[in-house]
Amino acid sequence: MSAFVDIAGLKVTIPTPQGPLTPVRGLDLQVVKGETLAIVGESGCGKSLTALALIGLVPPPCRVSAERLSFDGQSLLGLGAAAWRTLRGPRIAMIFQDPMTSLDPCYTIGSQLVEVMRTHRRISETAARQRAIDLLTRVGVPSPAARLGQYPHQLSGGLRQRVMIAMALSCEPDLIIADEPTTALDVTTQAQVLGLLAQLQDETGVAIILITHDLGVVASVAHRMAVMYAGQVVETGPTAAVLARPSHPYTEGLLRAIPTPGLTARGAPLGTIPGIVPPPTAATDGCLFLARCPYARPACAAGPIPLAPLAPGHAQRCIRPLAERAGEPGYAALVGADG
Amino acid sequence: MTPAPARATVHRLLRHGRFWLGGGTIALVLLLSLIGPTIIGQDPTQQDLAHRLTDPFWGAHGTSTHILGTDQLGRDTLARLLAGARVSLFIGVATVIVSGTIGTLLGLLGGYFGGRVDLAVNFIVTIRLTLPVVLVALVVVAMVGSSLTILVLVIGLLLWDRFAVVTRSATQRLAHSDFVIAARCIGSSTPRILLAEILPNITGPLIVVATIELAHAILLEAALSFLGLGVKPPLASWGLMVAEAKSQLLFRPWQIAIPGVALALLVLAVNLLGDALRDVLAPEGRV
Amino acid sequence: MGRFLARRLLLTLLVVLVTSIVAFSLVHLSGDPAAAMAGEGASATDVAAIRRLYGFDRPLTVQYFAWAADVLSGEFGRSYYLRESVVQVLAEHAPVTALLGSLALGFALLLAIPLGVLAALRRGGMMDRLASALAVTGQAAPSFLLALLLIYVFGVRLHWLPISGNATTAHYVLPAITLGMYATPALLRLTRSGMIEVMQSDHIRTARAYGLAPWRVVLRHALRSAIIPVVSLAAVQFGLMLGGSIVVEAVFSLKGLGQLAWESIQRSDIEVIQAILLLTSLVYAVLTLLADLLNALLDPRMRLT
Repeated sequence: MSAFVDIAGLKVTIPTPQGPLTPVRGLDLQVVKGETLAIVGESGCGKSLTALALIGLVPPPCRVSAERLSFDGQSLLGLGAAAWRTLRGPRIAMIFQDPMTSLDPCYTIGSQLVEVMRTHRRISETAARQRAIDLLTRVGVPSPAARLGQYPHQLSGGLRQRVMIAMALSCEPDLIIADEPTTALDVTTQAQVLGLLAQLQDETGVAIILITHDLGVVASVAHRMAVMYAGQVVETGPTAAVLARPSHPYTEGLLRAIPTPGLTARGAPLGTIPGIVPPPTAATDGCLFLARCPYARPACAAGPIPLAPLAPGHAQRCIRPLAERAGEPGYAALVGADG
Repeated sequence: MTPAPARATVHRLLRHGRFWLGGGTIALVLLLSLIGPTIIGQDPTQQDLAHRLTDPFWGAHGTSTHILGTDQLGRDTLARLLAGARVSLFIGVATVIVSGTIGTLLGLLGGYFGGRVDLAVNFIVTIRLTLPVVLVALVVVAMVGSSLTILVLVIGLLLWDRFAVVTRSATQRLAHSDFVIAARCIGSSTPRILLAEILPNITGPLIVVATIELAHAILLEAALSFLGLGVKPPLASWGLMVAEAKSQLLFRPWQIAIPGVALALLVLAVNLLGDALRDVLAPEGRV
Repeated sequence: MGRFLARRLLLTLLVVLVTSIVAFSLVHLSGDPAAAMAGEGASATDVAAIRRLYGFDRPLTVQYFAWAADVLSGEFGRSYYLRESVVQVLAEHAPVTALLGSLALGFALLLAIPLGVLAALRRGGMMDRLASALAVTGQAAPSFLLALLLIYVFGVRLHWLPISGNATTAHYVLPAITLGMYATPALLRLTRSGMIEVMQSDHIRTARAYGLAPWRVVLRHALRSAIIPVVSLAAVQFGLMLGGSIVVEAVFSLKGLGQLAWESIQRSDIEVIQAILLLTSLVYAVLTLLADLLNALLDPRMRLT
């Protein structure tokens, strides 16, 4: 199955007087048509930059380079501005984190939706407005006709995000990149928005890349997931499989930090991963997680660690197989240390 | 607002190109205006009607006695230029002291006490902003006279608004900080708190405002003198020199250009200095 | 919105009231306006006659209230020098200044906004450096120098434009440019910095993320947001320019309010000076109010307060 989105060796570099920073260093990722891939990681791991690289909006002075960065067979590397403009909207659409600031406060949401539509196809103003109403209905915005004339600040956060989703759908893209679409929303609205995305995927077969730091969100909507750490993917695979049996120590550490029935003993403290994320300057040989890993061995420091396949569609970046580590105390030994 | 360590600030300032360009020019003008007259040996008020309107040394009939030529009354242009420099700098600095004092005081009071005092200060500032500066200055000078003292007072009383606004917002921010509360706890009197605790911490932005208002003051005095209601003869002022030379625009544009360009260069230097100071002392205000 | 407007209106009225008191006081600073008006070499009888005619012998407060009452009923007194009602004199001179001010503001905006946008789009580029140079020189050069320079180049040397009087529209070109340069540096800087900030905002990123054409992103979205503070600054600058028109009108011999003010000051025509002071302050106060209103109008977020 050829990947719809195929990323290999993605690097985002920021030149600074003190030397280059690499917030994304060698990222590999594939997305298949019609599926939802969740990219998970803590703040600063490079998830948003990865998303921006996919839509060509990495802000200067950052520079993007990759072995492969292709969308539906077309390479996105070195694409000209005009070519990007034909892609953005009709083929790839992006939903940003903060709907309050992502919409222009000086124009009504109707005019903004219409503007996007009329940029990419030849339809009349009236037809576009009607289509906008249809889209708003579809994403669950009540009284859509009235909403067209409202300004962004007049809608609630949840409604604004629905409007952003409507905008994303308006040109019928093949891929939607959603960068933390529900982080700024309350839990109930969050569930509604996620459900909406899933429903739309069923209806249209659009592929979704969902960026989040919330494992709960991943579990509920993602078919596959990729765990990012320090600018690299450390584990990727079917959501259920990864969450049930995490192969990479970082993934394991993340899961231990969430209260999980069956895993977390009653009354026991939640796990933490000691140490901090390495800064984007550190050019290291060996595993980037080494300093914080309870399963570390000297061999882990030698040479770059490749993303090795475990099973079809499941890969991870630890040179010590799960079976080998099974007997060790691992994180349990650390609980006493900072309990 | 943490005050930057003084030595580090001075170092950053000294490395700033515009500081040297601006400050250096001002220093040069000051130096020339003070020692220049002795060097060239011409009296700026000495009239010599036999040699009126001679060209500068690059002109067709230039002489070496009067390097920049003479004006319509035979007075040496260079001498008057240097005398005018003294006047501009003096009025500029004196005015800034006056307006700075008034504005800072109002700003401290408004920012520290808040409430009705603040409302009153705001109202006074609004009144000042509503009055047309040039017009008011002209009226006052016409009514009361135009000695240097009066000029300084009038301009000083018209250019304090920015001091007040900046001081007020800076004081507001500091009024609730720990060291002020601590000073109150040990029984420091309000004047002491205002002058010894708050004021030293807001000198950065104030210095920047001082350079802005210095430029304004120099330009305002020049405009007043140009209109005939500023510095009066036999004193020299660059604005006055331009006014006197105005009738010679057709045949001797140099007479206008020399003092005019001198004015522009001095103000430019002050602005550059202000830019450099702002970059170092109050970068938040950068535009 | 209604309450905001009412409060601002009340404040404006108060400001105008206090300003009128200041204007009145300024004009009586010399202590004896009658002597000033009569001029040097006037006999004591003449001065006394003027004093009685204009009521300068009444207590100051009475004089003020009488004047205020007159103003409110549309009367500004009589010009001693011109022997006409002040209202008439003002009405003759005001249109010139109004036209000059409008043209100057138009020029300033036409220069500042495009240049500011271009400078912001390519920071450090040629346009940016040009804009910087323009802002810096515009701020440093005194207006009378600029006026004389323009007269020399375009009037004397090139003979392209007239340099004195206000007969035709062409007569307003050089004065408008000179006066406009009063406001250009501030407007230019504000446009540039506003555009730089807005171009980095999230909603511009959204516009680009949906493939909108570059001109749409810059003009319809970025400039629309960035222009809001520029417009209210322009209103305020207009008021300041009216004050600065004195020098420009003097150099170009335009028969506007500025010229009238200067002449009246020279001949101690008290009633006219007082009226112009009040009028200028009133216009400025109204313009600042207008600036606030424009702010609210242009930014939909502010309309509901």
